[in-house]
Amino acid sequence: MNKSINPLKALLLCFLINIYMPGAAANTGLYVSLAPAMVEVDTDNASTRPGLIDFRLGYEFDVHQLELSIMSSLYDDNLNQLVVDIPSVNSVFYRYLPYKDTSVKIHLILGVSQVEVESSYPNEPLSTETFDGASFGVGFEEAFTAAPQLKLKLDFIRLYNGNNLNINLFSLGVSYAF
Amino acid sequence: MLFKNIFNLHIISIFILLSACGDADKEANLVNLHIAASQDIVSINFPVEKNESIISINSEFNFTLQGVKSNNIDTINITNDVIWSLSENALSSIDQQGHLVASSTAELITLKAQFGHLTETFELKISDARFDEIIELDKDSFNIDMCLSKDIKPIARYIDKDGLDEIRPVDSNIINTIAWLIRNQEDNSASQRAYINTIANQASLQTLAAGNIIIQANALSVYTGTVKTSSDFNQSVNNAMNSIKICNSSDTDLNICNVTSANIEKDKSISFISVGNYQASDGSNFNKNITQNSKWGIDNTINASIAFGNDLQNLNITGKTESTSAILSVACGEITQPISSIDITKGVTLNSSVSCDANINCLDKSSNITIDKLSVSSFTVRANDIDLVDNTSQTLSSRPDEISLQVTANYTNSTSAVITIDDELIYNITLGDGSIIEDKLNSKGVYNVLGPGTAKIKLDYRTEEFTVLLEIP
Repeated sequence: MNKSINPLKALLLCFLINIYMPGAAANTGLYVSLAPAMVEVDTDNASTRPGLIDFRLGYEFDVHQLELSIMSSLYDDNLNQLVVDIPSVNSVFYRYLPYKDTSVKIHLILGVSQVEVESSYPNEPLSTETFDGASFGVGFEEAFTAAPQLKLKLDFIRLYNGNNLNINLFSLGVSYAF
Repeated sequence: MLFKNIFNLHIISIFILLSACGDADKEANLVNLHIAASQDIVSINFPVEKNESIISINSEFNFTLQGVKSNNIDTINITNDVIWSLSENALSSIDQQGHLVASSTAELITLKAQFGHLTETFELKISDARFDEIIELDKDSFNIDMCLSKDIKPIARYIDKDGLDEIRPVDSNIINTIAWLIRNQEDNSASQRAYINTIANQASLQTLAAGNIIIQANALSVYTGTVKTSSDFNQSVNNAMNSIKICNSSDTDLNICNVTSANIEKDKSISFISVGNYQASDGSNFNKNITQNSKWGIDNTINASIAFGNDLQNLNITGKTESTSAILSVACGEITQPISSIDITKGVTLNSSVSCDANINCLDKSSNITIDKLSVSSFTVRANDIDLVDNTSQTLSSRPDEISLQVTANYTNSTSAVITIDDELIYNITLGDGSIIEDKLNSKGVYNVLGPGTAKIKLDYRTEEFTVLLEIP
């Protein structure tokens, strides 16, 4: 793995380069979101799907959003006797809205994530692994007509794209723009 | 703007690069746990009864890895996701299905199997001891009922270069060279009660009738260079069969299947199996497909014929003469009809019914087979040499004096026949009768034209219909 590249710095720079463009609209501000999420730990042979609670703090500027995500375990998953839990996921996402005039906003998501996976199996000691890497995905967002600051959010994100193992996130929740 | 686009392209490239950089070592533990958990396996082992610790040089062997489920009771053979390997510098080789090909020289090696996070090893001797003779039919004595099969693992004496005996299951090279001799115990006559066949290096005893038999193995001793006949192996074939029945080969529940009659069309085949109901040693009953070791007969070979499927696991019956019938019969045990001239290793079929009469060591069953007429898949119909389409109006260019139909039936066996004047073909004018067209006397399929308008004729043959629709000017 190429350790000389700092993906977080690259993301921030990307965000700054994009937002300081002339003609950016005034759709700007902080927002928070909360969602129950399911993480799929996917291997060639089997998958486990523990649940998490997903809290995000973001800043929106025109068609750009920068988001800090903190997730913690809601429930573990059991495949036969294999118990898999995700104690924490920490991510930074950059979200880009290519079509800003539609009612359902589509977000292209890039970011970096750190996923902690805890597993236990009969005759095996409890083990914890941390997976770091680039994340990417797609999100959908629609504002409630009665309360435009409140939005329904749906995200599909690959948190970790490995050689023999992938970690995917599915979250459905709400966000509130201040 | 150009700078922004170039920069974004770089960022995307970095992400593609990063996303392609997984850490396989870090993933290994979680991936391995998922492999084991997917089959609920908590430990693995090499079962002694299915593996051999001494293998002849130049021979082959399929190793079996067994997994113990998390209840610590149930076991399964693990066939997928096993990583097989041999110790370093081994001359023998093993593939990822556990198939070992022994080297041409003797060696001691360690076999390793990894399944998920679990690893097991097995010490293995590749031996250059030479085969001498078969000394046991199987490592354990066993009981077998008539019309059943049992895999056997003959035990052989091998002699090493020091002249010491090595007693072990016969290897894959020798097993295929053994000629098995089977006689009836009571009179030493060649027995039709059982035979042994060897497929894929596995010998299997097939029984056809109850009684006591003597089995001998005839094989070339590599040690002495002479053909050696083994000592007598006495074996009983028991009769613990309760009943026999005929089922369709597609039936999956052998408890409830039963075919007492069936219909087939001429030139078509259907496939049957025979099912024996046996009493097990614990008093329970079980059903078994015994097609291969049953005796089959057909009472009328002009009406229908029978033949085993390729692997003897089903019997195909083919209809030959329409609107007739035949009786398919099956028996297990000593039937009344002689079979001494039949090679029982290829399955027993007779051109007559098979029956047990009063023989207590025999059970039979029969099924009535009706051979139906061949059904029609479509018609080809022409009117005055013009091709017609079913129920589609065809306008004639001028009014003819008469319309002559030619009807060809296309059968489901891909043959065709002109059936214009066939008695089974029914013509019926459903529109325009007496005003547009009328039947021509004594000319089937020919109509006199009376005037202009629409004429409709319905054709009916073996449940298939065709509607002729003509616009007459």
